[in-house]
Amino acid sequence: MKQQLALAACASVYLALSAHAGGTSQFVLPPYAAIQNQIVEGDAWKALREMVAGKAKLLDGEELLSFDAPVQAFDAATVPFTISQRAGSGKRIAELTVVVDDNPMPIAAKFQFGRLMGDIHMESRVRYDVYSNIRAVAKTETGETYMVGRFVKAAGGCSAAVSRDVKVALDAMGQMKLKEFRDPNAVSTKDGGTIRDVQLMIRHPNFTGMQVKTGTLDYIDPRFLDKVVVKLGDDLLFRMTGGFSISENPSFRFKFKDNGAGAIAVYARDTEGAEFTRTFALNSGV
Amino acid sequence: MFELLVTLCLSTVCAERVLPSPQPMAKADCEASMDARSAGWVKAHEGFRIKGQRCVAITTLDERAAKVVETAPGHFVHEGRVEPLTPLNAGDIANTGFIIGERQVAVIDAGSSRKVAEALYLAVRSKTQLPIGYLFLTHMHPDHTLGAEVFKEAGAEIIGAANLPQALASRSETYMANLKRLLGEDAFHGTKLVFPDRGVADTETIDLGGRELELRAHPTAHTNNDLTIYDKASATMWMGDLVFLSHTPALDGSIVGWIKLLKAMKKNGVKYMVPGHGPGRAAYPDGAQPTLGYLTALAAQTRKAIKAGESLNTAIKHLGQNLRGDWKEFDEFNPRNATSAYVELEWE
Repeated sequence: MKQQLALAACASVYLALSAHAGGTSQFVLPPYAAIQNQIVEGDAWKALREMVAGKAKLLDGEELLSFDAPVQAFDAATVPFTISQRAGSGKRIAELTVVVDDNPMPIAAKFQFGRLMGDIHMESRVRYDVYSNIRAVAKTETGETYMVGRFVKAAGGCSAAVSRDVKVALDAMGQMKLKEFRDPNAVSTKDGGTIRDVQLMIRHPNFTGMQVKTGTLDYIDPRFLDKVVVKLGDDLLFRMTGGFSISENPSFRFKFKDNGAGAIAVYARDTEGAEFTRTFALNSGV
Repeated sequence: MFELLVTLCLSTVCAERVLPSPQPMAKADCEASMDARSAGWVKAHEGFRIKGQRCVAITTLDERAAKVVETAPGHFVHEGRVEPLTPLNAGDIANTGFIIGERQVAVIDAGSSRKVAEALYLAVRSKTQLPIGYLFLTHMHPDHTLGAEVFKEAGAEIIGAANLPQALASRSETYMANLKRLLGEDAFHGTKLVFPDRGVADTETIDLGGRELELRAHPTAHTNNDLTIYDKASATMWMGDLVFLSHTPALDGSIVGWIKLLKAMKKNGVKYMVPGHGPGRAAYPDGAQPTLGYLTALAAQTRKAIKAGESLNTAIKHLGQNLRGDWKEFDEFNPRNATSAYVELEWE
């Protein structure tokens, strides 16, 4: 069951591109030179590569993106990662796919970004049961594909990638929250739009299908958010196609350029077809 | 009395394991029944084969038996090591023990592996010939549950909190894979996960014969399936992992619920506790103070970080770091606790 779903999800995530592998300067140490957990190549990626990036050559993404993922998954249910586009690249990232090579459903999420997202900043959380690479594959508007990745060690013996309390997770399903943060580095952009920093939180168990019903030993069918669309007025901020590798109660912290519309509209749908919508008025001024 | 030791092989790994019996046996009975018992075990454990078997007097098995301390008459505690799970300790890291009544024995927690549980079983058998009526599991974590099959074979009814079967089942594949990886094939040899026979939703009194035990299932705290066992005769409360000493507390339920539970602990005639990890006996309720202090401080720091707009990825790098004190295994468990606390408290 989980295999079939994984394949279905993989099939919908396909990036066909061509590009050339990039090199980096050897004389000035780049900002990522001290990264402790570089990718450790393994077999899983060989099968995934084409699904994620087609035949495209993958450019080294370290100069385009900073990618922060922990050396060890301390809590297998919640491993945070932050992808942040380095300033001044002049490139617009249109799509970004997050892959956990050795998870049962390796493609955790695929994001499509609207123009207001500017230099991408996205923090979310994945489940992490295994020793595995986590990668971000970014496609620019002009058709280049960049990859950046980290190797994350598995959690300790007692940590599992499941709900701490299934009942609580189901009871609160669909609740949403939007937090606005004052960004100390906030600057108004050339065309007057202010960069805003928000966290969208959605209550959903994101059942993996490897969890078990209360009071029985029957497996729960997988049930997870497979689509999230976030708009600022009429403009798209991002659209996410997701899998159950995204943690319970999915959370997305991101930055965007304010268009003055004053409200963020969220649409989320899960694999059972349940739909959740909410509109959040934004506070004015930074 | 005699115990049956069988050399069992799985693929190329062989190890001598103890096959318990519900009734202690004299040498002749042990030898007469050993073929059938070994064959029955192998039939229930796919892939294993018998390489040899022998009946051995329990009096000669001291070396293999878990070391226990009789902290009160008929009340025995085995102190697990405050260490990570390693092949050398076979997962003997949690406190376990047993209580002897006039008619039967109750065992509390089963350790991480068959090997650890067998040692505890032999410790019981070295002290009494009474039947082992019960195995109580204080919560789902593998260092407390994975040895349970040994006591099932010994005839015990396995009882946990009502939420335990679901919690254990959803984690079973992960636990078995993790523990096999961490303990290694030799130490983990023959370990098979079994489920509780029934659950306690609220409270239940169990009579061991002239000795009553009070079981209580709690709202979500350390986990969503915490069970305490109170032995009235010794005024001792078995806390499971609701209380840690020496070993850094591990949060896998609700930090709000756990703090609330520990704050509400009242003496009510209870004098001692057995924490889930660390020294095998502490004063009640004072033994809970280090755990409560750590959790309270961690919750305060986490709320502050959330309020300041720190992201999870930033916050878990520093939350709780100044609470290290003398806690062991801190670098493994504190960041995990911080993660767990953050994702719970960010919804407040």
